[in-house]
Amino acid sequence: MKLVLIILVGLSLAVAGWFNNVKEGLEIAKKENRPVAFYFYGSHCPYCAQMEEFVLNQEDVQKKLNNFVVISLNISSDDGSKWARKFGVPGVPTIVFYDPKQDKALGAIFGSRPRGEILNYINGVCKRTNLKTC
Amino acid sequence: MDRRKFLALSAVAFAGLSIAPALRPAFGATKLEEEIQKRLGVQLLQIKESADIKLTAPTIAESGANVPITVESTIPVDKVEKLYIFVDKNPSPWIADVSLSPMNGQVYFSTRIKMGETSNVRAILKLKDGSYVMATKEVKVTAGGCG
Amino acid sequence: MAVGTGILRVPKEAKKGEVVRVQMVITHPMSPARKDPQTGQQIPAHHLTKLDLLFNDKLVSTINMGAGVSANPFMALTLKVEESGVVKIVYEDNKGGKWEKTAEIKVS
Repeated sequence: MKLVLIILVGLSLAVAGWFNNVKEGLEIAKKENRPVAFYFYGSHCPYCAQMEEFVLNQEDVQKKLNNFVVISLNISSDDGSKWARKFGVPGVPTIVFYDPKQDKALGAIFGSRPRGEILNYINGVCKRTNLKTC
Repeated sequence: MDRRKFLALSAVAFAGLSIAPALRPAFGATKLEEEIQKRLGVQLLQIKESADIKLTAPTIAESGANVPITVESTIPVDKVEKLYIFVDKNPSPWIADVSLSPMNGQVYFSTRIKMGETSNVRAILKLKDGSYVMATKEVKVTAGGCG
Repeated sequence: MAVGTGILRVPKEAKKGEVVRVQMVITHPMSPARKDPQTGQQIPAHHLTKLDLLFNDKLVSTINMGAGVSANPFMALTLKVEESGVVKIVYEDNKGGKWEKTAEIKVS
């Protein structure tokens, strides 16, 4: 019984979450040994709405993103502008893939894209990570 | 190959061919084909393109959020039951349908639709005799971002 | 403008037998189920589902729609007028919202 409980708890933690707090997100990422996907968005950018309506809410994309700790930041916020500057983010929507252990960006993709393109890009990033499920 | 074997082989090949169309919907039907089958009760490939339908849409859309489309037809509205709009590559290909009546005076519908990526837009008319006709236009949706 | 506010535009006058344009703009988010970038949670869909066009209380057309129609949708249909009367649109969304708007047209 105890083993089942441990497995269940482990599984629930293993579904990487969606954070809007950088500190929290990075902590979980380091603890779970997972890479991070920063999602930079803007308040009134129709291309972000496009990503959120046509790409990020699709099952297959969500499944891929579950391999990452997603940290979602409004680019105008303090954390958002700080981290956008760090990565040289040109605008929104931008997804930056990041390895917190090596403090290294694994890739970045700017602009609203078709779902297939985003999936392909994430697959490319996955090859540079240690994740078997990616 | 002796004659008996050859006949046996060709019998299998023929059986394969006749089974294939029935199997087709189950294998590899796109979301568009499924939606059309579900809502119209016919297969996409049974619907013919018609020059009597004019589908106006931009060749390149500035924003996928707001693509203006207009459907008109020289087919008298008394002969038309319904008009359907589909976008092939949207996660949900069905966009809208409009029931028409003689009181409309003509076949006409204009609106603005959302497109997730470059795709065909289709306007399908259901005629009162039960047949379907269609106009298709490809609209390119460019990637975009805000600086 | 409040969600569900409608603008209905028809010519004020027309000749008997004329086919006029009926133009509508409805204030509505027309959003599918989408991801809230802040929380990562799914926000449920909120969009118009149906719009009926009537003339002198007779049903002319019904538009069925989903979240594939753009936000604050613009829609236009045509109407052949044989007599003066009232153009009415009655429309609803998936959260139980229901609204209507009318406009008069004088036909000579």
